[in-house]
Amino acid sequence: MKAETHLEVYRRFQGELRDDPLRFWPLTATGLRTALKQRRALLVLYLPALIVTVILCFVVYIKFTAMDALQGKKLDFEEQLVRGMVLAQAEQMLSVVNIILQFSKGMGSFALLAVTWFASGLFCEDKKAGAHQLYFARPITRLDYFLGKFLIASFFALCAMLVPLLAVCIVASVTSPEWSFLKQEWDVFLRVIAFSLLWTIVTCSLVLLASSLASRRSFALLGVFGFVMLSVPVAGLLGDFVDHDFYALALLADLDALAQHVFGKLAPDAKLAAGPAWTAVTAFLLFSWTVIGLRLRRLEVVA
Amino acid sequence: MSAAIIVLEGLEKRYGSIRALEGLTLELPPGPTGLLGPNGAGKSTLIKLLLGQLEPSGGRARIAGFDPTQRGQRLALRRRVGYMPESDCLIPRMNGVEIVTALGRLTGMNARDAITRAHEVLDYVGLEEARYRGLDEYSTGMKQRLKLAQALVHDPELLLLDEPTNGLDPKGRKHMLELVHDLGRAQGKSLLLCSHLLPDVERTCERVVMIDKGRIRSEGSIEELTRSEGNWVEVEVDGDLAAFQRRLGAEGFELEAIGPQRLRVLMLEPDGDRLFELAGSCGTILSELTIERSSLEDVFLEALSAGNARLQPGSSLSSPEDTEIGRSGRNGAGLEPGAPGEKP
Repeated sequence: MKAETHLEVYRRFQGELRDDPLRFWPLTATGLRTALKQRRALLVLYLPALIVTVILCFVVYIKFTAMDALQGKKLDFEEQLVRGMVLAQAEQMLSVVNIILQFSKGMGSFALLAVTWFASGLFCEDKKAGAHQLYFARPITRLDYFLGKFLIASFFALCAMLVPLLAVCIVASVTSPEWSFLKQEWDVFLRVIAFSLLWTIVTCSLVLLASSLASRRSFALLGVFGFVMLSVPVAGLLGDFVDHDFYALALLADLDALAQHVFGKLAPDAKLAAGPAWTAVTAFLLFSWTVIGLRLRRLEVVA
Repeated sequence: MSAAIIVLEGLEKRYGSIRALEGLTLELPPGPTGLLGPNGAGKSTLIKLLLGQLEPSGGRARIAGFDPTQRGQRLALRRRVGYMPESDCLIPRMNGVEIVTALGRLTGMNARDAITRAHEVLDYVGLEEARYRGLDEYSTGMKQRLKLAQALVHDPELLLLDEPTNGLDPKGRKHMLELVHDLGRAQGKSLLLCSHLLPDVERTCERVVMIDKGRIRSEGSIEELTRSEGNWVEVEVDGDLAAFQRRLGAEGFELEAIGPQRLRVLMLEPDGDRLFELAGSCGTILSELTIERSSLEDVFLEALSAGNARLQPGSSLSSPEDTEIGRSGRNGAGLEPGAPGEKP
């Protein structure tokens, strides 16, 4: 019950309205706060990723401690020969770069799932609820709006991609003898960051493209998974029967090839070369940003 | 008169071959103004142009001195304008405080100011107890008030209110109109109230712009517009009524007896002093004098008819009753101040 002394008086705002260059940031912060309320989805999507990350960190730890133990022993000639072979085999199998490469492919799927779940409604739910009318009456541009939403999607992608990969790198650095991993393979950090950013930009663009085109979140979800699922067999058939470059039509195949390229592991006789993969990804990004730009223009006007 | 808050100079908007707005020229002084027009009249298009969400096809507009077509000025303009859209437009999975705070921050407030201000405006619109509730628990009236709160969060000098009483029950409508009235009159805000409900405009605004088919049909202060036709003056006479009638007849006034001691007098200019003078000259006293005003509805219907006549010379006039306002007026919602005029 309202207190009798309460007066609904209008008060003037005495503060200052700033022209902040990071105008998109409040949009991102609000979107993240809202998305993080979905605790069950967070648990379902990120707990497996967390478990896999912990296991791989443990594998990396075992690799370095086991090698350290083997190298520390005093052995006769035959034993040294065997040890050398075992070490070479283990080195190959447990190469941190290989682990990270395989891990990045696996985590990419988690990232795609997470981004699709959390970001597929970013545009279409605003449109459906009419929230865009409120946003576009504020001093923000369409680019601010896009950046604000893009950063929300990126947050979920990076949490599923960059954070686990960096965790593995950090564990490798800490457990390697005398920080040898950091000293000798410091570039892996840069490669991890570069590939995670690439994956994030591509998947976020795909999901936001679907969100901008769909009228409902469920349609956007279906659109993303439909595109990913269908493009693989179609590109595979065209690649097998027409030209290998057609493999580039599958976005996942492109990202797979680019992962190997970024980590310097792309075989010369790989089905999909780096060139067509880069071209396809660049073309896809340009296409998706153009379509999103047009859709946001319409969204602002329809507001 | 202080500088105009909204200036339109031949403002046009075309969608392909459809002309949504045709050469609007207007200067609106600060203060509460009603934008009246039936659905499809061009009200929403005009608001989008004022907010810079649409590019005009011709002409130009200036709001609070800013040109909405220029990017920098558009952003500055939106800091000084609060917009309350007509439709439901609230952000899912957020509560009242979060929405208002977020929109305050988007307008350029820092986090602390935004949250303080959110609580203040939610108090003002009467949502103090519902501020932490999820939006799915809000009634239509609460949603409307929340939309008003978000429009007020940055304390704009101009409010663009698009059908603020839409879908409200009588109590909610009364509350909303009280808020709008307070903002326009007591708080000195300039506001443009888009509505198809004449009583809402009549109750809250000082000026009115009547728009139909993309054209301004009439514009001016409500007092002037309603008085321009209201030259009937109703008087109550103490003394010899017949003598007073004779005196008025001799002066050439048109008269109508409406009671034992009451008359209606048609005057070119409603001049009470002249009537008192004439009454005194024939030994009578006027105990009551009321200048009758034509209702805003009459003015609006006439403006629509005149507009239609200009648009379709020689053809039969489309009846103003065909318009939503005409209908609402005839049904009573446009006539009775307390009528809800709800949409399903």
